[in-house]
Amino acid sequence: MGRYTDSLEEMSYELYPDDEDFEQKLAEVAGQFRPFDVALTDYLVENGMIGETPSADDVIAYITECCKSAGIEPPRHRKKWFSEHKLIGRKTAFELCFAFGLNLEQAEDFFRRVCLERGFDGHDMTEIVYRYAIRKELSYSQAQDILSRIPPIKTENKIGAGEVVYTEMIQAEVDEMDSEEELISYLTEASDGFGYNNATATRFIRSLWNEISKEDGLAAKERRDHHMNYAENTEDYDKGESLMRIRTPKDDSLWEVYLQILGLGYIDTKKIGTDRSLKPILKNKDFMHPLAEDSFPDRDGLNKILNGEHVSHERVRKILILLAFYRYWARLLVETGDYEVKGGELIRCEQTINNYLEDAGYPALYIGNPYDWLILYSLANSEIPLMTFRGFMQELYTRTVEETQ
Amino acid sequence: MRQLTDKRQALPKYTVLDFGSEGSRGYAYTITGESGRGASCIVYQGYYENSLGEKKTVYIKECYPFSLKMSRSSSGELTCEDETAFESHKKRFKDSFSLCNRIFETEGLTNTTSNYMDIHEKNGTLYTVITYRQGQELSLSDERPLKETIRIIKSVAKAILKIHDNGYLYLDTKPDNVFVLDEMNESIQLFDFDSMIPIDARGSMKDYRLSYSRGFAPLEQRKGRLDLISRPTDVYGVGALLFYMVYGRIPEAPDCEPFATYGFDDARYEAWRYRDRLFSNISNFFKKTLAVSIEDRYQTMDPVVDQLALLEKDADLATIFLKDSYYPVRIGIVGRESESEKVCEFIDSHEGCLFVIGMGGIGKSTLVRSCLDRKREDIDTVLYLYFHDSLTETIADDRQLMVNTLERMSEETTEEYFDRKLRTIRRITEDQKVVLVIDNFEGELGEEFAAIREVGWQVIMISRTDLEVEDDLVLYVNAVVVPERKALFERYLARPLEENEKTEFDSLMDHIQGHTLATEIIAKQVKRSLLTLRQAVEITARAGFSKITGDPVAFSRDGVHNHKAVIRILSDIFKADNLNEAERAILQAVSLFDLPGIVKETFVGLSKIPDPSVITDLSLSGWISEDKDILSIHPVIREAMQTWDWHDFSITTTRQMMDGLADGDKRLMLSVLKNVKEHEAPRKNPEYYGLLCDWLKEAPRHEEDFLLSVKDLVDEATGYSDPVKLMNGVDFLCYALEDAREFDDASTVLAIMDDFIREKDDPYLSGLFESMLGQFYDGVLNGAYEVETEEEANLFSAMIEAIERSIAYMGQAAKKATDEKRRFEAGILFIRYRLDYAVMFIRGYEGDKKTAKAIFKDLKSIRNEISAITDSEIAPEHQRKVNEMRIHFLLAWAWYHTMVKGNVGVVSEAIADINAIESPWNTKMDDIDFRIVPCAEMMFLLGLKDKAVDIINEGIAICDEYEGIVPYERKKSELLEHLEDVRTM
Repeated sequence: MGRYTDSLEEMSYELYPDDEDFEQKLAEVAGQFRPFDVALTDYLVENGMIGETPSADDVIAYITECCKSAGIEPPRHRKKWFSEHKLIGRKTAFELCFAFGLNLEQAEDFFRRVCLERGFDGHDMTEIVYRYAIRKELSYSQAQDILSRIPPIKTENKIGAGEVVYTEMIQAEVDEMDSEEELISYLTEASDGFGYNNATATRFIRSLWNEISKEDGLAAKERRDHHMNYAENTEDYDKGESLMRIRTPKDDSLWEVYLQILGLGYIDTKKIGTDRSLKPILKNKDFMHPLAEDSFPDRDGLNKILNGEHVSHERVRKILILLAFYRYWARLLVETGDYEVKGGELIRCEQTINNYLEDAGYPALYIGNPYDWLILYSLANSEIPLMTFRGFMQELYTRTVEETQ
Repeated sequence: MRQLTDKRQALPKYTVLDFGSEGSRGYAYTITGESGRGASCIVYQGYYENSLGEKKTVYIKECYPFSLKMSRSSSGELTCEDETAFESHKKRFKDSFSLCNRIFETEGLTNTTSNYMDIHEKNGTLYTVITYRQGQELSLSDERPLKETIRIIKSVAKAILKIHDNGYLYLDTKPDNVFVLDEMNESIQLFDFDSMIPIDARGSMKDYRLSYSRGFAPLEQRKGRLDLISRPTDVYGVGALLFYMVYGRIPEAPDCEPFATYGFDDARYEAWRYRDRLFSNISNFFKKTLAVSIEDRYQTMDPVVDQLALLEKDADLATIFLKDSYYPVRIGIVGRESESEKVCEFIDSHEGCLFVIGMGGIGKSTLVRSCLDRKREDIDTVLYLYFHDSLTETIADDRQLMVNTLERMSEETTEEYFDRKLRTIRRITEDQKVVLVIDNFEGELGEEFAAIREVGWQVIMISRTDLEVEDDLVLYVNAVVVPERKALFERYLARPLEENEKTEFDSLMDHIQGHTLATEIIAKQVKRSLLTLRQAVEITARAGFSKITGDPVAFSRDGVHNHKAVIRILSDIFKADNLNEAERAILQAVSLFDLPGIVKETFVGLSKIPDPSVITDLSLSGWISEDKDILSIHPVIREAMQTWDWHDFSITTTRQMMDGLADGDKRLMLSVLKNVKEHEAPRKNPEYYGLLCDWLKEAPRHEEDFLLSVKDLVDEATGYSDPVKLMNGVDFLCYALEDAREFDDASTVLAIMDDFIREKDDPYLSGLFESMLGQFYDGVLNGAYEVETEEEANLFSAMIEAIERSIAYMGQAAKKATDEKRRFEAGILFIRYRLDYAVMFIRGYEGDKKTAKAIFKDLKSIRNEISAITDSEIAPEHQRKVNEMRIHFLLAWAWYHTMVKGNVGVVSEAIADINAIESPWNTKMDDIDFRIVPCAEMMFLLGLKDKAVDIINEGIAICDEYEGIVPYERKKSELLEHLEDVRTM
């Protein structure tokens, strides 16, 4: 596992947007990310759960056996994990944790390194029960029994005024509990507080977004002071025309600012056959891993979070990372007037993002996660992190336009 | 959120833990109650008897982990299902005791860590005994001054520093672990050393448990990065503790960023009370303790202790200091290098006065502010004042120039306060570099300016008019030079000019000669597509600007002409901008607040405008300045708005705002009253006159000019005011007019009120009016009760008739009143008028028995009325007035027994009763005038000189409390004269 992340880290230091074969190199990196089946196999081998060089059938057989002996129905599509490199859902991931008999620490690690996802969510009653059961070394069926004794779980709840339940508080309280009765009574009494997903993260996102997008906010200042000339990638530049004339935001609408953050302020969405969505430019790119594409920060997700609606954990986490990343560099840009930054800032930015993630109950940036890799790669490129990130996004757009034409 | 159920069973009260009974050493401890619980223990309070039989209080800590399934037998024995786990807990408990003992024995830590006396085994578990000291945990519920809080945290930092010096990291700084001892606030004890690890233990970290408390641990501790945990980890804990005590919440990710800003609006302490540098230093402290990056924090605890010592000093409210002024700064002004250099050179020079002269809107203030910002580090205090009325008034204005311990007394004139303030400032700024800026100065440089200069600060006067200056530096500010005009325009346009726009731009600049404000406004309008460059060129072509030069001769000649041109341009842009009703209403309402302006939130709250985003639009268009949430309008723009009509929406908004201001900030109230006075449409409304009457009731003496000018509005006011409010307001106005010996004006006002009252046919109003009339005659007579001329005789009899009518009317009003409030007020006035009337005759008593009898009868009747009011019947809001009435009666009663009866006993008793009543007076001066002086006089008249001396000395002592305040110094001289008279007569 160490070698895998080391190699990804090294590659992030060797990639430069100016490179002639930049696109090809990116594809190589994307190829380095392990599909779920490979990561799972590595995990089982590393932890001595299976022999040194297992075949897909060996792994499937092992999983089937573990599930059966743990009283869990083996996952239906387990063969497709290997034949079609399919991803798994969180429910299946938890079933595997029980099947493998992982402890709390191992389960967190399994989620982060194998599933490339966050660990337990303190706002989700099911996951709280799983967390309790794994900590107390209960079986999957015992966990299901507890779940059957608690009220129905709400999944759609808006974050409004008043008290919001915070992930850390819930986890801390549940981690102190010693009996099932206590857990059930707690969850029953506090059921109204559940369903609020990512409350801390939402608060952070709203605050970051406000600082970025408000009138005369960071995005407006960047546009004003740096004229946001993305001409290098456009035909208009060849004609010698200023891009500001092409797209002068009439207002700081969410879509405009979102595009600006990604460095796509100039794009003509008609050219890629879409309206207010970037899905076409993310799809089917050999240098964009499906896990990075999945839940990629989007206008709709951001809008929902700002309106207090429920969105997936991964979507929230990715948006939080993007905003904290942009906010950091935009603040520095406003202060120094330069996109070029000093070395010390890169580690500060990474720590700042991690602090946001930690406070909101998410896993820290992890180079093995393809989306995180993109951010860490931008940080590893020590001179112009924001422009490096945008260079990547512009590469995606240029490729899409070429493909469309 | 429900709290977890802790099922651990504490030992019952009075349980005796006899540690000496089983052959081992130790006392028998009696438990008196549970003191607290931790994850691994229960702490009890108890006592033992020492060899002298004295009871000594202690804490007893019992090893009783929450996480284990344990049960307690009736004898107190603890058993655990998982014995191995329990044994491991007991081992940690023992290790922790040894460590605490070592720490306690360390020099310098004995007083700041709890003393773990001994450890004993009993009931299947372990107990430690800890010395008891009186105190409590640090908590948000303690309302300590900030200085004391900082001192406590400094003590915490010092204790942790000692722990570091002894090779350990503390790693659990949080309020629960800080025990503040009662004896002295700065004395603390740290609790709970379970998280401590050796500083150099990196290689053997597995031997230590690493835990953290949410909100007080930095990222490396929360992530369990043992390799990174070091002294700065504890530095974070101390920073987080101060943050928690200042804001009442734990720091989060945004508070730990390199760009974190720490506003003090939501702090638990009111920032305005403290010197400015305290909060910039606290911000700096947070930056260097809470930083997410370990390298950005203080690397050791020494600088933390040093910084906390400085903060403690800055938080001392007892020291006199000057508050910095707020002034908006525009980052990176365009051009102006040579002018900036001159201003900066002046600031560097340490002395004198600089006059910055230029036409309105040319950028003088922006230039000066930007230089102040550049040089801010070299200046101790910046005082940025907006000139209003006069230099004396501007300096005396506490809202603009604040000295923390200084406040204008209502008894002081502006001049007196101006002198006192300058004296104080001179004393406290002796070793400081202070720059005073007076912006928008108008008028002449007289004696007050000389007094200002003598303080020894550097003065920058910003003015539109060319002042006659002799030896001082003068900087004429003219338009931005031609090559820089494009950059200036593009800055506000927020984009580069296109090639095809350049011809129009050149024409525009030719027309406005690079005038800064006009450039800014036009660029912002073009940016927002409210105006095209072509339209701007057409508008400005009509204005007829002449060249702006820096030549002093040409300045005076062209100044007026060009100023008019700017006003014309702005007026035309306003027209082209086609402002809607709401935008006009907001602009007109904001323009009613003098500089420095009004806080946006306050404005939105007062005006109740439906859509506050309009303010942002107006700000982006350049019409309103919005800086750090303060809204203001540039004086030149304000001037251009002067000719605007007031439409319905503007009037409604302003009325709404005036209504809201009724209980608001007096300065805002006055600004609106003065400015609305000039506009008939918003003025002719009940809200304006309601506000005016409210202001008149408490009008400060130094606002005499505006107060007296209100006389012109009385006629109009009768059409829009609540009659009682108006009567009360006019009462104060007449009093001020009479005080200023403006009897003709007072008489005109009274004539208007006479007509007004006749129409109302209300005895209460008539009573008030007649009382005002009596007061007027009294003022004209000026104490000449022993009439010598026919005119005086006529005035005297008119006064008596007016007073008698006021009594009769008020008696009727008290009887007829249907609502309780009116009945109470009329009742109080009815008594008050009769008492005043009686005292007038008592003081002039010449032995006429019939008069004496009539007075006594009256007083007795009043006494019966007052005695009928019991304290339990008095509503709290009426208590003050009742107290005042009781004192008035007792004084009248005492006067009667002094002048008519000469009865020392009754008089002494009355004075004792007066002294027992809680003072109803607004100022100490009133107390001297209304209580001390008459009581001393009565004692003197009764021949009790010693008692008179004592009372006068009481008055002198009060004056001494107000040393340096002219009215009190004056009063003290008067009292000293009285004293001399009493002693020598």
